[in-house]
Amino acid sequence: MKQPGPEKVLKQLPHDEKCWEEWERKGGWRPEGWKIVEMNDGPTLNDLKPEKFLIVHRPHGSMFHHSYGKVSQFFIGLLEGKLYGTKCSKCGLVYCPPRAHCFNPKCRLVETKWVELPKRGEVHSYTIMAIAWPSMAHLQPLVGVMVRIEGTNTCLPMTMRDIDPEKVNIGLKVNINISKQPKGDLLDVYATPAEEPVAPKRSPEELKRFREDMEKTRAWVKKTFGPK
Amino acid sequence: MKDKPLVSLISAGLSKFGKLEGLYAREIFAEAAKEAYERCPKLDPKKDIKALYVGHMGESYEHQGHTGATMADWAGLLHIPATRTEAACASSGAALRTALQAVLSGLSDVVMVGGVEKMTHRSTADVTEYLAMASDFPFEQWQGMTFPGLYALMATAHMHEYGTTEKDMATVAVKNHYHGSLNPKAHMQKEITLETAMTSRVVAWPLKLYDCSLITDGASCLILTKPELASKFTDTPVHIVGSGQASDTIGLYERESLTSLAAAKLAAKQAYEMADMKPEDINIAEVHDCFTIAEIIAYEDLGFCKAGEGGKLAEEGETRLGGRIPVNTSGGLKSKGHPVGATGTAQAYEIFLQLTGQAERRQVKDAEIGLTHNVGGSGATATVHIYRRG
Repeated sequence: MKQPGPEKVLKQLPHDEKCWEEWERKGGWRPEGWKIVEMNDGPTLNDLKPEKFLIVHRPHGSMFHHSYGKVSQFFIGLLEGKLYGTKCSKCGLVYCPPRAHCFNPKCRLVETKWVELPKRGEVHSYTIMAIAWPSMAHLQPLVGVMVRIEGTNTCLPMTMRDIDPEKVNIGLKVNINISKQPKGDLLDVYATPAEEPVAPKRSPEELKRFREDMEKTRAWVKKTFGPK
Repeated sequence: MKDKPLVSLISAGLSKFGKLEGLYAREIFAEAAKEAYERCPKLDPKKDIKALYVGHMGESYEHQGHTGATMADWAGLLHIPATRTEAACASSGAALRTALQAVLSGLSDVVMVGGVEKMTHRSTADVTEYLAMASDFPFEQWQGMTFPGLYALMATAHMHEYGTTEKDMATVAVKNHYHGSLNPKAHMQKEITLETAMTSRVVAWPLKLYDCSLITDGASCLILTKPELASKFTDTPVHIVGSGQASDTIGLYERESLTSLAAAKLAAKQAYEMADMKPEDINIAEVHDCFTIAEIIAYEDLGFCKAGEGGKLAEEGETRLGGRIPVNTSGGLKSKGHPVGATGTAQAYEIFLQLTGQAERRQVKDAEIGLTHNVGGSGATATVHIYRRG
């Protein structure tokens, strides 16, 4: 009888496991530094008394692997420059992000089928991130959008490029781009405008503040990371 | 029978909220437990308390799991059954619901329920990463979206659909900071002006720094018993008369609406029906204002106003102390702080103080009916509880 596994590697981008093993073996996680401090403590902020504490600084990091499970095909698609979703053969819902099983109660978790999707969609909602993940801080102000891919019933979150933040708006038609050097996660996907954007309505006072906010963010990025 | 008590709160405790550097979560929890014991001299904790449920979101912060037993140990309750519940930021709201079931089932007469989180010793990047674990792993966590980002998507949609403004949101921040300035246990006991809120640094537009709740350390706890036993412990109990809990898609990307939380509406409906009450019956509420837009949406989901009118309700001062229905008199997550696992029962603590007339400078006169609304993540969990003065 067939059993699950073993794993057969079909294609691979190898990683350096060794440096992480070394880090662990050498006890890289032991405290790097410490301090004895006196700090106020007490039952309320109005009733504090000094107490002594030892504080250590401990590094933390690891390399781990995870699978994309039954929605792996979506990410394999990104590695191949394609956009995939899934479709329920019973109720016809089209999912992007994909679901391996339909969540419509009537369909009782029937398995969905993979469909290739057009690289086009529409902005469902947006934000402009001025405090992004540390690894993306140099890209601030960073436009984050939820895009409804053409022909689907859910929304794919992603970042947007080539647009003035003040112009991004709900309903904007966008193109979906996949990075030329995909790494195999959602950051490989980004949106760009597919039409001339029409800015949301803002009062002159709101617009002035918005521009000042963006300027402050750009100035911070320039100060922190230098000119582009 | 209208508003028949399900269970009774006989005591409550809250640690101070803030940057409690130097302390462990268990020590902070013990502080909350100590207050609950002191408030109820007739209670013999070791003898009377039959079970503990603790809300706690992340073992990553302290590299310490197994929270149920740890907190029982430090609260002086060795050997009682102790269980952790996890539902992201609604962890202790869910713990309260679980504790209520334990009492209602007849299995445990007296139960302690609480929550705890120690967050501030980690870098903001770490905290952001741990909190992001409450969102969908492959599609929300790994494309650069932060939690403020997710709530900003809701805010943008609310502004687009209903014309809600950045000023409406800032008004909520100003109100909660005013309330927090009256709470000696709040993290940030400081009033702010509308100008300060509106010109603060953008985090994820339209949300600015003062639209976001605080990263805070803290713990909270309650002691529940059967209504018929309450008088054995106290002359001034608070009864829980309605309870609701619901869930929704873990990803915001699959929700039908971005301007309302379906789980919160469902939980509210259950709680109102159980209590046989309407939104108009509520005198005070503690709602989950992890971001100012979340408080505006909460007003609407709880029926304090019509959909789309939450901004107006805040603007008109109806939810400020002295208004028709004061909301977040504790300062809310915004100003009191948001130690995620502790938040649900910390909300109940405030209602307990208010309904027993112990809220001091922020006391709402003659408050009789209170409500708590605790939300996990971007709304995949919601719990709502309704309380009546005993």
